[in-house]
Amino acid sequence: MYQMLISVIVPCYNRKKFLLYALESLYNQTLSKDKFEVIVVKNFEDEKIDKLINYYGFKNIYSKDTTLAGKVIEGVKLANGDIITFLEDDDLYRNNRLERVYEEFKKDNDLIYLHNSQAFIDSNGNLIPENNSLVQRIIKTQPYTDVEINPLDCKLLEYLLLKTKILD
Amino acid sequence: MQIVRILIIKNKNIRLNISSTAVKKEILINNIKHFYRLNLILDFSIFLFSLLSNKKLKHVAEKLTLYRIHEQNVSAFTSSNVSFEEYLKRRQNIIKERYISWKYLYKNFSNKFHCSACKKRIILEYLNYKFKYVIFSKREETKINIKIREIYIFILLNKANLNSIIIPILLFIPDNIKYKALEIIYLKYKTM
Repeated sequence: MYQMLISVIVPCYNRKKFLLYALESLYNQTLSKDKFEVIVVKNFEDEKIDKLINYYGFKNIYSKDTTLAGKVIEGVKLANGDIITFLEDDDLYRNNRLERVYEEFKKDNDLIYLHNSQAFIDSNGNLIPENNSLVQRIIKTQPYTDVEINPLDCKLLEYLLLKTKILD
Repeated sequence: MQIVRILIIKNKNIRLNISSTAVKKEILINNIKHFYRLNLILDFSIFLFSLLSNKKLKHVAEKLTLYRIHEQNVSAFTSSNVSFEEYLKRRQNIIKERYISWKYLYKNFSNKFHCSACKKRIILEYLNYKFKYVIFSKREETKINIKIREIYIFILLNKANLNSIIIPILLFIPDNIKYKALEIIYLKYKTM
């Protein structure tokens, strides 16, 4: 029976400081380990980090590419998953993120793209409250309701935006 | 609901984030050749390429990703102990790269979208970074021509908000005054 697989690409350039926490958050995912793979694409070798990547059973790819895009492309080329998602080395996933991603794609075969909201943490991993002025500047008008964009929505948008049509 | 749907495409402040993105592999494979040119706007590019596929996209409100704000990331340039000169240098590099990426999207993709909101967003970001690139660079460093028509479109698309008026003004003032103004803005945010 066909089983969907998620590939998580972790691009990392020079920065080691937060990578262990990112990897730990992937290892702690509630989604069954046979439903996702992790591909770490980084430009350095580090005994502690490499040991942990191997222990967790993640793929460890060495890349000379200095760009985020280059590392993402290398990861995509090696990915076996039908769904690709990403984790930058300084960010973390909530423990249920991959489970939620899996559920959403599993229940709707037409779904091609999924995006979720974020909470904010400081360099020590502590949650930053949303009324913090810096967070306010970053999030601005992020929608905090679920949104779906169906193929027909583009036509709907066009209709709704007729009055502000300037460049067409 | 319709208004929110428009927001996700139209609002230039929507915070798309690569660590919060999941996408079918085919979208990436089909567009892989473009990614090198879109390095710093990968999150938005993946969203746009998905939109072009004419299939379903979804945003969930659950905060499933923890985004770290720290000294080295872009969002925190003015929040930490970074000097104005260092801030300026970092901003210049990032703005230049983003300008090149948005220009690439504008030249190659803006006509592929049937939806006016997508076209507007691409044009707005392209002009925004084009202007900022000129503003953050010394006059002799850039040879970019700004057309009056572009300023008109920029202000109009931004519905003449304060930023859309200040940015074009900064284009035409001498470097020494411009940098003083940027320093004031930098200090204002630093103390926030």
